[in-house]
Amino acid sequence: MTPNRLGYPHLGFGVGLRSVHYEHILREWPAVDWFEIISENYMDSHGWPRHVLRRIAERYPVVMHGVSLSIGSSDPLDMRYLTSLKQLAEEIGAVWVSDHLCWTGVLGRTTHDLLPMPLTGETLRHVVERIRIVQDVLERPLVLENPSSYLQFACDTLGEAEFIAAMAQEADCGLLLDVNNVYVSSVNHGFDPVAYIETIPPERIVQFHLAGHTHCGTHIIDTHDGPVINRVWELYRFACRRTEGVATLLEWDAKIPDFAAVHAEVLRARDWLESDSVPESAAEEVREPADAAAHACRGIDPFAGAHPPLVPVWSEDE
Amino acid sequence: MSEDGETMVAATELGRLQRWMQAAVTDRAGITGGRSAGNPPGDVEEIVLPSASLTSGERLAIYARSYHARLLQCFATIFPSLLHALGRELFEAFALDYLHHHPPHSHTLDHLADAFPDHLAATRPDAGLPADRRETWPDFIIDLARLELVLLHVFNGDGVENATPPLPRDIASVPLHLVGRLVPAPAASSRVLRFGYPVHEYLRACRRGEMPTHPAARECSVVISRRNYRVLINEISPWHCAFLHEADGGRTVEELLQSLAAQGVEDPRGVHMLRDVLCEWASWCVLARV
Repeated sequence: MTPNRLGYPHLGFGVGLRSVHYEHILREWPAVDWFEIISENYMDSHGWPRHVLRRIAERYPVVMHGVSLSIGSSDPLDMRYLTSLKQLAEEIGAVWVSDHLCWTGVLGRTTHDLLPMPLTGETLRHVVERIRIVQDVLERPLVLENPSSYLQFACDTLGEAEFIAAMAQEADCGLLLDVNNVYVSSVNHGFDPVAYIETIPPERIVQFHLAGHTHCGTHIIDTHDGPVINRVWELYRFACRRTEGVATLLEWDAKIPDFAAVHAEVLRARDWLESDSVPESAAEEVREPADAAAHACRGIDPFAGAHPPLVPVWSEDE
Repeated sequence: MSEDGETMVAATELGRLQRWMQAAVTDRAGITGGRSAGNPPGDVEEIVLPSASLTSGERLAIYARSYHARLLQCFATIFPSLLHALGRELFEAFALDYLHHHPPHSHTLDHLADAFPDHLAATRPDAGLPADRRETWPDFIIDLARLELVLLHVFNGDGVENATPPLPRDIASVPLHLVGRLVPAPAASSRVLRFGYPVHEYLRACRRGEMPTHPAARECSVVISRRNYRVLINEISPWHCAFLHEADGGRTVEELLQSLAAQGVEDPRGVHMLRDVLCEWASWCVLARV
């Protein structure tokens, strides 16, 4: 009875589309189940990125994953942004559209970061109301992801999993469970990641995210710059058993290896589900020495759970 | 109170918290900047919980570091040659000053730095001096910033890939006596720029992985266009630059020549050579139609 996923299909094991892999994909057309794009990289592009996306969407299922919806902001929803989002979704036949439970800015500004929400009954109502509006505009259920976070507010009256579960039920939206984010936040805030996953209604989960992160000794930053660690694989299998399997995507946004390596990492998810052993080459948690942590984490990739620059690199004709 | 009313109250409280956090995260002064936000909801220790290993301020500072580092990385992606020209320390100082005065407002980073060349011009150290007493290196820096920004816009903007721009052979087949009747219209993806330094050559050298030094001043004109989604940079003569500036898609070549002549800008080579030039521009996809 668990599978529901709001009617969305189980797409299999996908890879995040990144510009460094364009050439390889257009040349090899690799046997990937599906691609996920960062919506904002393409919404306003009328050049090469949009052209590549159109070609890829002709051959693969594509899911749109946004970073700027700012569903939790106290600013009004940006209708121009929503219209552009919907237009792109229709153009490429996006299977679903997702974003994050977060806010990105107020007073008309944006920080280009996924900032944490205060988790209260009032903010829950605020978010639910806005999700309903977004779903009316997009004419499809929205899928929202649990963010990685580095702080909690003193005014919080709800746990994050509790908030997300209520949000999904009341707004009738889907969920993107980022298993790595659950782990990252569980370390940063000291909660039990298994209990967190048990609180999330499995029939609402449309998609999983997997990614690597950086342990700074005193906290973890969600850097998407390496392989998935064993503890996250374990949590992933636990979550999969609850959902009976949903579309899974590997995010790799910094120090990106060649396409084959990224694809191989997500295929480990399939192997991991089919066996009892730890996936081959699964990474162990690497911690910076405590005395070096502050320095190291000042110098690491700055995206901290957001996503890479949306700025494309231009190419000059030779 | 109605649910709508409660939501409005909640949004007000939420707005207050978010304005404070945004100020704290984005202020150049770091999280202390949040204290200058109007009507802050309290001190950081009252708003943010500490973790087992980090104080409230240290947790908030993760977001502040991330905000600046992310945007600086975007600047480095948009302006790689400018980064080389200035060195990282000065480049980041200029970028941070710009971000302080022009914080991002758009969901797309394509327009993050739109006002950066103008900001550099307005804040150059000798801005208050007469032009003839100014240093020259800021001109080079501003030119280079303008060029790299235009390249980004041309790369991502509208192009002619799905249109039918004129082919060189179309123009070559026009009899010479009829060239004056053509009505050239630049493509939306074309830009004509005048520089006081050969910044396009400097940029090419950077892209080749060389370590170019600041070039000597040389007035030059370039046309930037897009062909098959790739950006092209070509140097053109001052007269051709003036011609392309004048071309508006509404006047014939003859009328454009007359207009330029009236401004004292004449091409000694005449209309015959212009056909070859139009062919060349067509090969670069500079023109939408003729």
